Amino acid sequence: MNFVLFLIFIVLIIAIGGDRGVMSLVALLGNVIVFFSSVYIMKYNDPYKLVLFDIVFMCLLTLIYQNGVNIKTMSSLVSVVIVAVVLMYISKYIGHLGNMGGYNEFEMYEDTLMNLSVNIKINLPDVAVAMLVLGVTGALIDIAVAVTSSVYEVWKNNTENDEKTLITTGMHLGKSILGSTINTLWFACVGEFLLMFLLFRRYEYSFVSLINSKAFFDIIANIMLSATGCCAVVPVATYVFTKMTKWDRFAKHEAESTEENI
Amino acid sequence: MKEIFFCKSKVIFTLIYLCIAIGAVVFVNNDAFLYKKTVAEVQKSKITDRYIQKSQNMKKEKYYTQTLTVKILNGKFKGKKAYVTNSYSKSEVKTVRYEKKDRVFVSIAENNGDLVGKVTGFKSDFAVLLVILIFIYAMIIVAGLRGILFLLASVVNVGLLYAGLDLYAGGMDIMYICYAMIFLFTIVSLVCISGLKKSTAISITSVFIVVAVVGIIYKIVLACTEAPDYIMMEYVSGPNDLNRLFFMEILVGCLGAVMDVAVSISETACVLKNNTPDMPVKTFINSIRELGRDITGTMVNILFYSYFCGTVPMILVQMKNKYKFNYICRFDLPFELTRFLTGSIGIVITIPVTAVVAWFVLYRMKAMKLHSSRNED
Repeated sequence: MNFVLFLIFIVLIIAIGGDRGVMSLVALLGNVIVFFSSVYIMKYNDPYKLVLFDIVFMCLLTLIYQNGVNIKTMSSLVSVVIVAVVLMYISKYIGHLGNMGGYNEFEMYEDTLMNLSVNIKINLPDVAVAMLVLGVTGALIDIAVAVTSSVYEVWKNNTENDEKTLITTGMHLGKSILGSTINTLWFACVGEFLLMFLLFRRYEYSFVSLINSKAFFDIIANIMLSATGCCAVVPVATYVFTKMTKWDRFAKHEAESTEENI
Repeated sequence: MKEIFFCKSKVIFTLIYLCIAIGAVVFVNNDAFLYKKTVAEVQKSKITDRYIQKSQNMKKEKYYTQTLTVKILNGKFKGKKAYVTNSYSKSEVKTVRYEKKDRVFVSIAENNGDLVGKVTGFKSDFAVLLVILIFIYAMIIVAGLRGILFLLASVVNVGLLYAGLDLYAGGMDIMYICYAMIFLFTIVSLVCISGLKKSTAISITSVFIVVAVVGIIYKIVLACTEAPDYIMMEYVSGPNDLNRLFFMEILVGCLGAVMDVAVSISETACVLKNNTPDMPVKTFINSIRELGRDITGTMVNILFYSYFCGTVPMILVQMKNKYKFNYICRFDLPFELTRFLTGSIGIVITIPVTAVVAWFVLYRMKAMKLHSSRNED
């Protein structure tokens, strides 16, 4: 059944997206390969370094491959990596505070997991933090690209490069897309964990047992920290972009490309 | 630059928020008296034993036993010290390592004058509060009024979800709840995100159409092919109506992504039409298609990563148990894959659907209005 759905998806994306659709399919394929091979390598490696590598690779694939090297993509890349690293530290701290990762109380007694050995030599809390950050990176890239491209439009048409205008533009655009991007994450999460919410309801969790439940903390930390990352990337991307406009390299590059256009 | 990032209103808000946050943190830090279970704070932890355990797959793993000195914070032993032992493995899959300052639930018994016992759970209410506080602050400081509206929408949505689960537990048919919830989720979120204007009406209409189309596509494919083994899903509580629950999961899961795409397309469409009112239909549709092509790739990526990252810990455990990758893909990932694929199909068909709805509202309805007003004349 998944195969048929996959065929429908491919046909639709090529019919509607054209050559750009093919391009995003290739990028998606690259992401799938990187994701699963890094899961495979994670058996032997430190999840944090691996995920950092994944994030950079993902940025290269979605930003550089699809949009080329320019000030927009470079500033998005830098800001996404900065936010991801900071988010990783914060999540590690908070994950430790709230005991994130490992089996939650439902998985502990699930049939399919019961007869599996738990001696796996990888620290699962670390994996959980790393996966939290990797999971939000797609959204971070989306927001960073939107912010930097809108600032870029203003910067290109404005010869005086007034810093204040640039920042106001970036923040303004960030405001307008932040809500819908976080909504995407939140509904994806509700869809994924609907059965768990039903379990909470079925076992009649009280408020107190809910906020001290491991399963609940895993979900809420995931949503809230991802959303915080999304918020943080707006000012960071704006700031990085304004700083980068001062670099000669980009300024020159820009001047050349506008001359070519003329 | 400084006056934007550190303007007066933001500083004042930060100060007020900090006061409230500190109050909340201090309260939750000292709320042990509200609990019936015995709460204790770890004061000292010492590793008293190390050993290596071999499991049935001959994997060796280091285990530690720690002796914790805890201070009891409520109940009849309040203020006294107790000794608790706990053992954990290096990978912390089923076991937990406790450190200084952690708050835990313990069960305590008196033994020759000493208090001994074991840990029964982790007290995570403080961390829950912390993540929520950080998120609310970030949202309001970055997005201002829109952030507050978004938070409002989230609260309403959580309330709706709770009410829906309540109705389901009360025995109501899940499909009715599902449709009602999708209807309300969409209207609440979109009105709060983009306000009451023409583009919101366009996006709400197209979201409904897209969700219906995705549902129909899924149902047709399901009827033509072999149904997945729903009992393999995670967190299954009863075998009765899993297929319908999964259908609802799919629809709700794609809702957010569809809304995102619909909002950006309909807003751009309205701006285009406003800036050049006599734009030909062909140019209009072409620019929308161009925009759609720009956003599809990143949206599909967002869905892929947010669905699949959650499954990694379980994949790892299974791979370490020498399960073949094929096997994992066949039995554990199909649900994630179905969610991801239906979500992506939703994203892709949102582009033409929104374009058509926007064309209808911005071109046809105007023409119809003109027509009727002429008739009146």
